[in-house]
Amino acid sequence: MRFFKDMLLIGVKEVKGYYRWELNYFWDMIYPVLDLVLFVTVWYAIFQGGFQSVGILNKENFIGFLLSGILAFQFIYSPLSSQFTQSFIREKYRRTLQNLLISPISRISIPYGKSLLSLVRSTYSTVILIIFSALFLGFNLTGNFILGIFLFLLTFVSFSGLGLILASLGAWREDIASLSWLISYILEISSGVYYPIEALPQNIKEILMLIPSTQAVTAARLIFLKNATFMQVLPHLTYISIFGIITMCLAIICFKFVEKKAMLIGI
Amino acid sequence: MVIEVNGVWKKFPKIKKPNFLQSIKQFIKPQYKWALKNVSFSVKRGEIFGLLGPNGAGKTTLIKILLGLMAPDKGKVRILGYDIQKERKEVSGKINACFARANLYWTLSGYENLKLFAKIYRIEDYEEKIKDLVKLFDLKDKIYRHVDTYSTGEIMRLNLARALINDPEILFLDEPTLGLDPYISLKLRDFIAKLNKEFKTTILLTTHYMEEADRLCKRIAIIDKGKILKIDTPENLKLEIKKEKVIEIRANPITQEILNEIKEMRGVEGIIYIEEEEKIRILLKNIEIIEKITNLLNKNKIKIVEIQTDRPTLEDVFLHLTSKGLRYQNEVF
Repeated sequence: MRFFKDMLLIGVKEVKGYYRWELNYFWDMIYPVLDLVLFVTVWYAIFQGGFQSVGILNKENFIGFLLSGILAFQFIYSPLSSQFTQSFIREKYRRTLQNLLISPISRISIPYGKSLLSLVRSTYSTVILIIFSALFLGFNLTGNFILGIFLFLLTFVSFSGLGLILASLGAWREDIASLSWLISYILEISSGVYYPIEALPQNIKEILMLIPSTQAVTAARLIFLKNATFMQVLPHLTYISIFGIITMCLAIICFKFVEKKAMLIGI
Repeated sequence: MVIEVNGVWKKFPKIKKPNFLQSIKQFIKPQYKWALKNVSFSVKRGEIFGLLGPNGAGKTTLIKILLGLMAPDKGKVRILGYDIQKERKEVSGKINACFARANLYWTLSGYENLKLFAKIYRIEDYEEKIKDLVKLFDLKDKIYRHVDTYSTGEIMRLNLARALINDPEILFLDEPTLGLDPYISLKLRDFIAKLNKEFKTTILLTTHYMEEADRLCKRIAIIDKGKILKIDTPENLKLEIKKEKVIEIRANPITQEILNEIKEMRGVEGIIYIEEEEKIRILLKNIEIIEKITNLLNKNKIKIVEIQTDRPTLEDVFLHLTSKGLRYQNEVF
């Protein structure tokens, strides 16, 4: 109970601090929208050139294809973003971390609480993207929304594990924090957010399907484009869950390691 | 005793933030330097205890160990009867700390900072508590503004208010007046004294300002190079050098060579050069040596403006114990 209360306190603090700068509302709105507009334009041009279809993607559903992929990726990218890892480094240098660590707070709740800001940002971007698509692209997202929300939350929790590993290690060595940018970039390219991985050679496709983010993007498309049921996306959900359990366990080990290291050389 | 420190040793790697190659080198052939060497002392309930020493003496390392932010290599620390390393949770709600250079959330308001910590410390009637602290620290006009709009003095006051949010039984103050202007420092010192007197809060204060330690502390531990050199009341510490004489010479121009020559003279126990006042403060074993010093200055065509004897301060005690000054950058070692 204490853990959850403390996590919420840190989460609220992070959200208030982040949105203290009003332009952050704007950036969180504009970046995913620009992403969507850019790739909608690209695919529009490709289809205008006579291209018919590949895999799940065709002339009729390419906006939904891109939108569902980008939505799923919001919940992958945000816990891995440098904003999250840098937040630890900032706390360390501003010495606010010391105040938290001497207090009766549950120490492990600090990184988890910080990750709540990522969840708020992802949710905000998701809402903006859905509204933008409906208003300006004339596309209404359909499908099982409850299952979609469940998928997004599960994806967020699973990738938070990876984010926490990077954040913990980043608090120990700042140069590790840059890795979060590299990893999220690789995942963005390899998950088929902007293109159908079916278009790639079979062996590359098989490798890419091993990446948990590809599973999340694929499941999102099944839910929103094919109106898939829970049972139909269960293999993808299981895959993401297993990844999440492994990364969460590793995150706790990393956090304890960094905590032990900090006790030796100071925070 | 509310703080008991027994035989604490702490070492750090010689290179604090090693690069990749240095990390490997450190792993193969570890090299350490001692930050604390067999430190022992205890603090009574309701006491203001000072740790007085120059930068790098080990004060902050010691305070971090006392707060459970760092583990000692050897030795034991008990806070309020609990082993701080093993029973941190038992004690963390009963202590608090305020570090040099305010550590607050700048993107939150003063009120939000206080509320956050009140909730972390599980203060039930936190609105009332915040109201009291705001009044006490005279922050009423600013409390709902973001901390990045505060002045240095206001930030320090808010930081102290945050440190008092849980009515700590022990308050650790690490260089609380560092970087503050004299007026704010004075007000802050008044407040620390008041806090101790009215609320009986035990305070452990680290400082390198001798007048701060002299004015506030009931007992002082003089620390240098990780070792505690002496623990006593300020009065008793000053009695340490009753045989020695302190003279101050205002003269110009003073060169490093002259300072070195004075330092080497037989009978000179220590020397500090206060550059901004063009003043040399010298601790002498006997007063007759003054003549030799003035001759040296005259020989080097240095104009003597003023010579006077002075009463010993904690600065002189430190000089006596370590042969070096406590706070001035241009001291002769």
